[in-house]
Amino acid sequence: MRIAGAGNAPALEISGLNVRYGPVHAVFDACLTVGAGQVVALIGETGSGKSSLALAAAKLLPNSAAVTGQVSIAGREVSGLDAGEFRRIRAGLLGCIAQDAMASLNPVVPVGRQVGEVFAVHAGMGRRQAAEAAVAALAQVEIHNPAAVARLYAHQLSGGMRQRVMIAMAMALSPPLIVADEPTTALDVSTQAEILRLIGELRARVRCGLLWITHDMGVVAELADWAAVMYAGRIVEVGPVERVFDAPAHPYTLGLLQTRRDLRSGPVGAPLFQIPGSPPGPGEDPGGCPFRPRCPRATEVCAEVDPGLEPVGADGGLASGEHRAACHHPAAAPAGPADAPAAAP
Amino acid sequence: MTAHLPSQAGAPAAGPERAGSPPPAVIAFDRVSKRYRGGRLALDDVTLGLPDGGSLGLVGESGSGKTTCVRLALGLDRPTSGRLTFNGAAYPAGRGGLRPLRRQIGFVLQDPYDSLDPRMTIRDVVAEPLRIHRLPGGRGRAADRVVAGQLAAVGLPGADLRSYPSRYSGGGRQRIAIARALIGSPSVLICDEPTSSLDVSVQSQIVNLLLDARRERHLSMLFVTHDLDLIGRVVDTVAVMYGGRVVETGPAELIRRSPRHPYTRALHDAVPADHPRGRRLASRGAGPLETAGAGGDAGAVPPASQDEAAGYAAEPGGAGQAGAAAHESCIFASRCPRAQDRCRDERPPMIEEDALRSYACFFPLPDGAHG
Amino acid sequence: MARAVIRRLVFGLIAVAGVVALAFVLEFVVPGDPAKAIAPRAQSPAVLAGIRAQLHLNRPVIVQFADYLGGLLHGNLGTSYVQRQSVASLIGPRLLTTGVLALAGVVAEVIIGGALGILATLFGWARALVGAVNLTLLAIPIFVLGLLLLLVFGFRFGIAPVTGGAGPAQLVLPALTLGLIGAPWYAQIVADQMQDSLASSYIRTAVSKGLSDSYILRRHVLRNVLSPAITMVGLDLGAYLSGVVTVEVVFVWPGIGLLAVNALHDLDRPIVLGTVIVGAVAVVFFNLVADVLRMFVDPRTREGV
Repeated sequence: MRIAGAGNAPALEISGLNVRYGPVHAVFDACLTVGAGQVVALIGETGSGKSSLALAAAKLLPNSAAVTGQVSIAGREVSGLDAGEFRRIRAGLLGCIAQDAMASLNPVVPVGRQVGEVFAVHAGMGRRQAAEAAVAALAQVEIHNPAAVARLYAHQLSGGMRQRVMIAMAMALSPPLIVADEPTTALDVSTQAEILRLIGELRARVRCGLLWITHDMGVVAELADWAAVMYAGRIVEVGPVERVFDAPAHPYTLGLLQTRRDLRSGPVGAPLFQIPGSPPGPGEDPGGCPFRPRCPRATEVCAEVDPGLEPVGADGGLASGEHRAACHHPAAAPAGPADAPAAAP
Repeated sequence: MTAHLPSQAGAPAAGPERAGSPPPAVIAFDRVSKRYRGGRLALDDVTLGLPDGGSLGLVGESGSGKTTCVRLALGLDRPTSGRLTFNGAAYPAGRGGLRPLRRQIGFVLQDPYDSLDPRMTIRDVVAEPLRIHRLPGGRGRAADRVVAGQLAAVGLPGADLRSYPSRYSGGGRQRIAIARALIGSPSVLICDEPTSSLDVSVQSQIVNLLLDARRERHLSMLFVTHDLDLIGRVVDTVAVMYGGRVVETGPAELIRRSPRHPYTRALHDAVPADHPRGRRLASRGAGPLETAGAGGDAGAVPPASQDEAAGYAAEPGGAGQAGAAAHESCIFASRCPRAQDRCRDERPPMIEEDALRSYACFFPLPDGAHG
Repeated sequence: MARAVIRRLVFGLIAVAGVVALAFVLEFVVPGDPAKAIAPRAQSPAVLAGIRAQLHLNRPVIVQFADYLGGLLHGNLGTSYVQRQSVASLIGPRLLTTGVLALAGVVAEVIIGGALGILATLFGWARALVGAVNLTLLAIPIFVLGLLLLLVFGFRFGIAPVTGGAGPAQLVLPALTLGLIGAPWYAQIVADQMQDSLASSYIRTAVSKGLSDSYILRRHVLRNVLSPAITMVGLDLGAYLSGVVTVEVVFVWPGIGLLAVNALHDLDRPIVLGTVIVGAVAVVFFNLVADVLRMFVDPRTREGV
């Protein structure tokens, strides 16, 4: 599925991706595209497979993980490359931002040097040049006094600063694709707001595709052009972000939106809206639709057949096939109270 | 001056109210300060009260001091100055003295992976308070019955008592922690970010569990979180903390809709949008979607990196600001869009707007400043 | 950081003082009359008493202790009962000799242990093998290993010297013995630390930056291994310098250890005390050096930076 509007090759194209850790099937037949310069939010909770999908696309999974399927970055097929070949080209192709910046930075090396490494190893810069480039990169992410900060160690920086360093490292060579795994989840809300603002600024300057993993629908609303929702290793809904918010087709997406809306504007003291039940654990796969135990619309067919992604309703103006959901009973109209999963606590 | 509480339906009357006097506080902080070895001032002249049978929420980011308040309330630390009381009496020193007090407090902490001893079966974990406080049902068959009952009440009916915490998900473990907190029939429930480490779809379940428990057992509840929206749904009265100080208190509804303190407003504005059409934060270069006009004084908090430029590793919640210099000024002045000279030279006192609200600001936001 | 160093120095001095006092007291607890040791054939009690008086042994213990401390402060460690030489002049050259052995031993154990640890981490098939080797080396008593090596390489194959002495040829076997005995500790530390490192998120970051495996190993992993390794080296150097007694005895390496053993046998109290003190000072000193070095290597251990 190609997203109209981008003249260049899509930043990321995944098709038929499967990830297995031994007997556990973490990602089922995933297909996803991130257009050039587009932001796609990958939404999911623990166990949804979102991190596995992203890590598999970035070829960062350990050898023990079995990955099959096609992955192309900026039009270049990378799934077939062996580790050595990919290593040589990856920094210019793909930047990664991890969730836990503290754990993702080497504690005994100054952060400036860690940023500089990318330049030294891949842009063939000498030591001094790389150091200068590192300082410039830190300035790009709005770190004040970047030369001084470059000499500091990770534990001497605040959470927000560390995350900026990670962003600087990922964007150092202006790659066409950035994969960000919940970069703001562990940050305070005001720090998160800063980082989101920074991302907005950077996108205005540098055109790159961004796959942003999150479970926070608010962050999705702020950042995304497209939203893809994952549940139990499958992509269960994907579409333009406004459409997904206005007319979520899959009951899980609807549940996530309802949860947030209720939290934000519900009355004091009233019970919170909740999706009943809990996500399936790793390796649990009773067959049929994985969301069935928690779904108010579930019928017999849901227990037997695992629905695949199918186009949802054709609206005037929206090319049919762009909004898809994996549900036997997708909601066609904008969400109303009748479509809400049970609110009983 | 303790946080006042509007009357709540369903809560037992806390004794005859004398005209003008607040309901008695179960836990009261009276001008409490806490300075740690090494000089860090975690709490600076904090006055708070958890009304008997009522609920108090503490909202703040890292470094705000809210976790320190929890530690003090649990007796894990002692104030450097000021008075901390439980039911009117000062917190005793020493483990033995604290024990009767701790029997009355159940607590649920943030990290479900840390707060349960991985080497204890869930039966032992949940029954532990009974054993520690020498209450009946702490051992043997009786414990099995009691624990099974508690686990069923928190949504884990039929759980294997001999299983270990590692078998459960984050939500499951928090349920176990809640069962443990409630088993000794405490009168006070303290929750410190109980849902922050959990998945979104599980958070509401756990919060609802806590609300139910509170209602059924008539507990006084202290709920600490960084989530302004969540606190607004869970407690009656909210105290907003920044840099170790309380900057605003009031009824939850008003704090959300019509805050007085610029920090509260900034906190609210920092929350991401509800819908893509309303996006404000990452608006530059957002692409074809319309973005809501982001005015200059939209209230977004200027980045902490400015403080870092000045040499401090400032936390978003305000800790780490220069020590003595900041003491005689408004703690938020360096990052406040409304700050003026007076804010930097004088520390604003807590101003009581009425029986319900108070704030520490010389230039508070007017009513309806926030839609 | 200076404050931390000074603090350690002060505690170190206190430790040395404690050791001295303890050693002094122990000497008096050990049965045996030094006078008899000096003049074994003397029969007359008067002669023995005279010897004791000459050595000031008839004075109260406290006074003897005070005398000794006084001497210490002047760098005077006393005079050997048996050899009629100042203790300092006896210990001095031997200190160097033991130092050479200690250094060689540490180098050997770091190399052997480090190699084993790296092998075990990088190659799955080696893990079990290295584990078995470690266990064996840990289980063997040091004198057994020493004698075995001496037997095999000295007597059987004749490639190592079998008489004592302090030359380079004689250094090989004792250093090797020390190296083999100490290797499992380093192997364990290196393997543990490497494994932790490799599993950590920052290594994944490094991979995501397209850095090569060998670069990552060199620039990221090994740095993190250094910190605990340095601590151990400090401990070892200090310990060895207080006299690798067993090895010196087995190989007749003329160092402090051998001196101390003989002095104990002869009840030559001043020498025993002298070696104890030198040993204590060595341990404290090298621990301090190791601490400081570690602060350079691992910025997280610097206080107040």
